[in-house]
Amino acid sequence: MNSNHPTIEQLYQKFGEQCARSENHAAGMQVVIIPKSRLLDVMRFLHDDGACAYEQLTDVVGIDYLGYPQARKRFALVYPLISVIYNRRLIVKVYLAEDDLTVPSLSGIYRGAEWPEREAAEMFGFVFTEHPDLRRLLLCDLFKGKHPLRKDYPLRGQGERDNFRIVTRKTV
Amino acid sequence: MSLQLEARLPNVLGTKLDKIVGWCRQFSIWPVPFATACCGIELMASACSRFDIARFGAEAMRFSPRQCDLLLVAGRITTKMLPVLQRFYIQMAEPKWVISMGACCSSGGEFDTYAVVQGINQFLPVDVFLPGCPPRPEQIIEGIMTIQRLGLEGRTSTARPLGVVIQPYDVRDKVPDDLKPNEQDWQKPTMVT
Repeated sequence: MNSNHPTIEQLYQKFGEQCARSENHAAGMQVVIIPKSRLLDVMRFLHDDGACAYEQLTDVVGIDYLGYPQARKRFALVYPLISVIYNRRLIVKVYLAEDDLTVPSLSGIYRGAEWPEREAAEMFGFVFTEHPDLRRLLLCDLFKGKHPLRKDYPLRGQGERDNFRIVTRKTV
Repeated sequence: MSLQLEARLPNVLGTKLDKIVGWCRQFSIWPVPFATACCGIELMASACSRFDIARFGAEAMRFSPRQCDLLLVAGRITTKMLPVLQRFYIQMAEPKWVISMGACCSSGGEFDTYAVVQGINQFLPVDVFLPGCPPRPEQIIEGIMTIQRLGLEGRTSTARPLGVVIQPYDVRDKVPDDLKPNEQDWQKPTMVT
């Protein structure tokens, strides 16, 4: 795994070679794939270590690989990180199987992960443990128990958008 | 108010009073800009100096349902927002009119998804539809003028909302010659079949 990104070397030194796989994203960004069991440790290291210093987590992105020919696990979570001091970006990716969607929450390390994790949880069905407040963020009550951004959810919904009372001029 | 007066005054006076009251109402019609998305920007543009809707009395944009006559729904209405919009409409005092501005609230627009209501007229009585994405300010003004014409004719509390659709406004013929794009420089797009 030949890469110029200094963080990869630091990760390998700290956690060993087996924990992380790195690959180059098409846009030139560095992606690090780590197993779910190591997620909290790696994130804490990336945040706290002086040489890495990734202060900012920009988003929590969920991916559904249903229908992908080469996919082994169905879901993935992507965490793009920014180090402002060193002017670097890193993308951390975790693959999740369909029957095990419990992920440790990063809101203890990165405060900015609270709301994106709420959105990923309601849209895909991830369960973030130790999250301070895992309520629905964007969707309304009609979508309770449903996860619209999964690939097997119909684009037009299951009738939520037609299910309202009709207000006429005589309604008070 | 007009109904109570009609019971006491002879018919001619009642209808005349109706007309005067209707005239006053129509030329000071206060909209509430229920702007949820991009059509709100076009609404703001039509309220600014170039396409002034203050000329039509609609300058006082109130954000409270108790203080406005015209509900101008501009933008996508999601499944989360529709009950709020319905409650807003119920809280408005009679006489009230509704303009559905843009493609998204009239029919869902290009967003045929689980979260966007495909047309608020399914759940709310709409008087004027303004197609467009976004409709031009001239169309918005035409919509407000239609409401004015409806109100002047006495359609204040109709049991059935009149769904009037404003025709799209083609601006190309009205552009002065020096502002028109040069036809030779503009390359026609190649259609992909």
